[in-house]
Amino acid sequence: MNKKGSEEIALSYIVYTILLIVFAVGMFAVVNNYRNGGAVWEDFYAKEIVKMIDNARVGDELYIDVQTATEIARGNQIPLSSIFSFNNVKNEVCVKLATRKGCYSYFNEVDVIPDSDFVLTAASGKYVNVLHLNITEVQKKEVVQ
Amino acid sequence: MNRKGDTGNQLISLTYIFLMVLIAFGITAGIFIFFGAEYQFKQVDSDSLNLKVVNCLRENPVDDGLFKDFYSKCGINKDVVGNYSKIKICVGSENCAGEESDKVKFVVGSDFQSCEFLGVGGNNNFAKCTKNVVEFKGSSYQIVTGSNQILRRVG
Repeated sequence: MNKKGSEEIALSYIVYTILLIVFAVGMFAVVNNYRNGGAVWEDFYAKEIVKMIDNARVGDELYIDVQTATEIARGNQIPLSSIFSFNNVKNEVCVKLATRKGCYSYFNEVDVIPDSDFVLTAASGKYVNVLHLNITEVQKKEVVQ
Repeated sequence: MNRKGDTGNQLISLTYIFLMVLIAFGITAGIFIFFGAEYQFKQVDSDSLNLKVVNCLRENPVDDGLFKDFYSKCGINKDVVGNYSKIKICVGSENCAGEESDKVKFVVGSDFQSCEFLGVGGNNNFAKCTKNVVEFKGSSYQIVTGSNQILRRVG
């Protein structure tokens, strides 16, 4: 019985299967990042928050309606506590609404101290989640929410 | 090793890989076409930076000391501006973006000439710039800022 030929065929099938798995995983990662519009809203929230921080002064308090972000995160099984993170060492805001997170830097030399929980505020007859940020003097302490 | 007749197998492998690349390209292109380009923010970023610089010049005595200690006096992060933005401040200049004489009081970043390109407005690959002219104590200061920052995907 010729076993050499069947081994070669089996090997080629293994290589094809591995290639197929790598391909499928890669495609899943790309598509999954856009599930429920997560990647698009990440982009929007990161940049809008940076705009507010760049135009803020020390002592300001920012209240940002993040209801849509929390709904998308819940749909994508992202814990609410890991949606927004603020790195005062790198002056960076990161938003995670899907598998990966999107980060954007602010040039304003301030520190951002977020509340540990969202504030529930009534707006237009319904309650929405609001992110509360305190703008403080630079201490360069990393804060991650 | 007997390699006779292997060319056919290798050709089939190439076809297989080519098909996968084609499908991957199709799916990725479809996603990006459907969801569109990223949220345009470079111009807003540049405008905010310009406003910050103008306010700084208004709130501080404009002299060499200010430009030597520009970042701490203006409350601007040096690393962020160095990596993603650019600032050029000229005094008594008609065209600060193209100025190279001693009229340039402060500069960080490069390629200010691209701010003058006509096609930049419609091409988001270029930095977006903001120009502003302010008068202080009889001198005309031209401030050019630009931003080329895009969202970084991590994790």
